[in-house]
Amino acid sequence: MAQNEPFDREIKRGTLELLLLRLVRERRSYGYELSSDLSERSGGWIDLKEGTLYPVLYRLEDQGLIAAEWDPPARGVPRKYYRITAKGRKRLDELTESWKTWVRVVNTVLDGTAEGGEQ
Amino acid sequence: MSQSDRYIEEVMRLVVATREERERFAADLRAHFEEGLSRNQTTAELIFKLGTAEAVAEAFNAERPLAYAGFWRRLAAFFADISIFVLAAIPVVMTVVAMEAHAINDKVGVALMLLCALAIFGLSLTYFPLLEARFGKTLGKQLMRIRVIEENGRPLQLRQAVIRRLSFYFDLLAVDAIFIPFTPKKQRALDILAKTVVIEEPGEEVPAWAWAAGLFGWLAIVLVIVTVALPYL
Repeated sequence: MAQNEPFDREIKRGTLELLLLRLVRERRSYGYELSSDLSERSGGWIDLKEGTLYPVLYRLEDQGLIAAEWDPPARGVPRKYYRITAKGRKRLDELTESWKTWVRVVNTVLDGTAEGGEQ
Repeated sequence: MSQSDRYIEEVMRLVVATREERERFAADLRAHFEEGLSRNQTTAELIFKLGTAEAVAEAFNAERPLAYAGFWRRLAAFFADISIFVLAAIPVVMTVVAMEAHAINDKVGVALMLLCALAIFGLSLTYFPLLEARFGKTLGKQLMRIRVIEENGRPLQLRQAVIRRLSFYFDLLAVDAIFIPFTPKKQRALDILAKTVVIEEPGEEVPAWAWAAGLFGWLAIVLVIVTVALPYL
C-alpha cells in the first residue's frame, strides 16, 4: 500500500490519537491488542510499526486521557491494560466532532471541483 | 542474551529518556514480546512488526522536546576530552627525561617520541568521530551527561561526526563554538552543517565534582607532569 507518501503519514499521525482513544473506550486494552485491532479493523490499511504505537500511548497517558494498570499476573503473560479516563472521553468527543467536520468540508470542496463548479 | 533482549537494549540505547521512561518502555516491549510469543509468533516476526530499533526510538524521541546543552557544559566536556590528550603526553615527557638522564640513547629517544607523536596524532583524528558515531558521546560528554544526536532525534552517522569535528582539525581553538549561545538549538557552526545537536541526558544531574574535573582536570594533569618532570630537565 502506498503509505510512504508524506500525505498518508501526516493523516496517520493526526488520526492515531483519535483512533486509539476510540478503541480503549470500547474496552480496556493493551499495546499488543491495540496494534492488531487497528490493523484488523482498518482492513489492513493502517499498518503502522507497532513499536511506534507505545510513544503515542505514553503521550495520551501523560496527558491523563488514558490510564494504565498492569494486570495481576494470575495468567501466564503480564499485560498492561489501558482504559479511558473522563478527560479522555471528552477529548474523544471533541476529536470525533472535529474529524467529521473536516471530512465533510474536504469532501464538499472535492465534490465541488469534480463537478466543474461553474454554477 | 536473547534476540528480543538485544532489540530492547538497542532501543533503550537510542532513546533520549529518563530512567523511569526507559523502564516503562522496556517493560512494555518485554510484555509485547511475551504476548506475541504466547501466540506462536517468532521473535523475528515480532521485531519486523515492531519496526527497526532506530525507527521506534525516533518515534519515541519525536514525542518530547529536547534540552539542548549549553556552552559551559559542552566546554567542560571538551576540556575533559582534552585531558586525555594531555595524559597521552606523559610518555613524551618521560622520554625526554630519560634522554636528559642519558638512560637511553638519543636515537631510541627520538624514535620513541616520533612514535608517541604519531599515536597522539592518530588519536586526535579518530577519538571524537569514532566515539560519537558509535555511542553518541565521548568520555567527556559522558562525564557531563550530554549526547550528540541528529537534529531529528536519530543517532548520528559517522559522516556527520566527522563533519562536526572539522573545526577541531583545522582550528584547535574551535572558534565556531561561539555560535552556541546565539543559535536556537545551541549549535556550533559545524553542528548546523552536520545537522546535529548536543542534548542533555534527561533526568540526570551533573555532580559538582564532574564540573570541577571537566573544567580543571587538564590543568591538574599539566601541573603534576611539570612538577614531576621539572627537576630532571
